[in-house]
Amino acid sequence: MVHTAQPDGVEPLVDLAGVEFLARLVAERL
Amino acid sequence: MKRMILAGVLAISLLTLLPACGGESSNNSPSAEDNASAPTAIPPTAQNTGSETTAIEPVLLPAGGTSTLLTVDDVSVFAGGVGLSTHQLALKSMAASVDPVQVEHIVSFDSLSFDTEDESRGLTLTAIRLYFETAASDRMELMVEEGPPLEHLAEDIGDVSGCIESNAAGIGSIVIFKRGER
Repeated sequence: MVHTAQPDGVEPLVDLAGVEFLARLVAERL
Repeated sequence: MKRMILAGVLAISLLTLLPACGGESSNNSPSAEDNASAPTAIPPTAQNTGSETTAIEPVLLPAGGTSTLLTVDDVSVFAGGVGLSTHQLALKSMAASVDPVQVEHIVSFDSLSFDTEDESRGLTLTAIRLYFETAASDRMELMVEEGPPLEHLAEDIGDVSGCIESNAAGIGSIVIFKRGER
């Protein structure tokens, strides 16, 4: 699982598209 | 023994373990329904064991392992180049201290987080490696059934995957997947 967390109203460090990309990267490296 | 890798299937409650995932814990506290199906570890806390009080602390991982799956450079590309620090935790022993049964069939249970300098925003990879494919499938199935509804990805990751875009209650986005050993 890859997820982001931040206080409400604050822009996430990485948006959903970025999180999905990073998750695919992890899957390739497993 | 066939091993199964399950990246995901983790209680969002683990956010409270990770100092960089959103500042005050109250901002990141998961709802009860978020914790439905995954091993539960608890944050560092004092336990009264009679005459003595012991503390359960996160175990820092040695270099390597989960750290090879995602790097600061990988995350920075999507984070606008902000400075990031990393933290790794071995969560299996912590989960076992809560209930040994929940770590049955688990080879490893680790997290790797990337956090801004002020620790207000973060991205975390959580990976659970299991001995058996059936154990991974069972956990994934349970999470899908009992956890927050997952949206389908345009193209699946691994065997089963899904995502949640929350941006509320301290949570941003979640992408979860299960993949068997190749």
